[in-house]
Amino acid sequence: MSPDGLALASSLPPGMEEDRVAAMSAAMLALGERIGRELSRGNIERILIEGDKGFAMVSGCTDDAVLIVLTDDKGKLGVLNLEVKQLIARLRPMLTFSKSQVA
Amino acid sequence: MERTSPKQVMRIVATGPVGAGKTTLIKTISEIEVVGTDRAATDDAALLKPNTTVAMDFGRITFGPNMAVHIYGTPGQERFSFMWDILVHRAHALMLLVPLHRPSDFFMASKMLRYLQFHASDVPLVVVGTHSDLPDAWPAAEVLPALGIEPDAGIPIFSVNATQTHEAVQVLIALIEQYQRLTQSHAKAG
Repeated sequence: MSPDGLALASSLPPGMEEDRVAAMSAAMLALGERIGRELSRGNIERILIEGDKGFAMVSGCTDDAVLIVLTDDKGKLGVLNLEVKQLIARLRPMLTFSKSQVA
Repeated sequence: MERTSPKQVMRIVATGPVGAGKTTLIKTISEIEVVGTDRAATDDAALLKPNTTVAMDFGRITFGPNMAVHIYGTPGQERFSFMWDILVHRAHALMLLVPLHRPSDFFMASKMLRYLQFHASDVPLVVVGTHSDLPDAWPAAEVLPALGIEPDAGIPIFSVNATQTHEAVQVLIALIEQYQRLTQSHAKAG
């Protein structure tokens, strides 16, 4: 989604509303980044929600895109971290537009 | 030993449609640097302003040693309505900001008003008409019917330019007085 919470692309479990998930992810990242700054934690890479039914991980992807990944309760945090890192590395060039491309 | 009265914290929530001036009002009132969550707008809000609030704003103003007002601003877009839930839930008083120069937003404002009246019916509320300095701003009194508010509903309406400290503070004082009257009458009744 965009940093102001508009969905760009999604694949969600049934019953989850894309618009709402996008808005929540953007709010979570913005608030997390603000808290990170207040508490001197440097640049915020990820926000993690850990529930007994799985993880939700929000990451800044580019300046114009935010990524959220959901897992079920069988998800492993190490694997999730690795996958998200690799996914962002692949997405970044696709989501980064140079000024000349836009014009 | 003399007992010192505990510090009273009053939480005010400012809500209203996109571009009503919620962040601006809080920046005008707050005595601390506002904790904001602005991001570049890519939706219709971008037509009005470059940035939009995506989680909340937070500001503070203290009155004497024993009273602090915490003021929270919500995002304006409906997709962030979960933030309205979170913030309104614990509010002592509410402000609904309505851009007086954009009648096309009155419907959204009336929707938000119904939301507030349903979820926080016993919390004092004022309507704050903003952008009053613009030539095409409606007179505040004419906005009440457009929001579906009966003239005898007892909801005060103000007309302000949110960048002017004295105008913003007037609203704040009126809301605090309304809140204190309510808590006093509750105390008497209780």
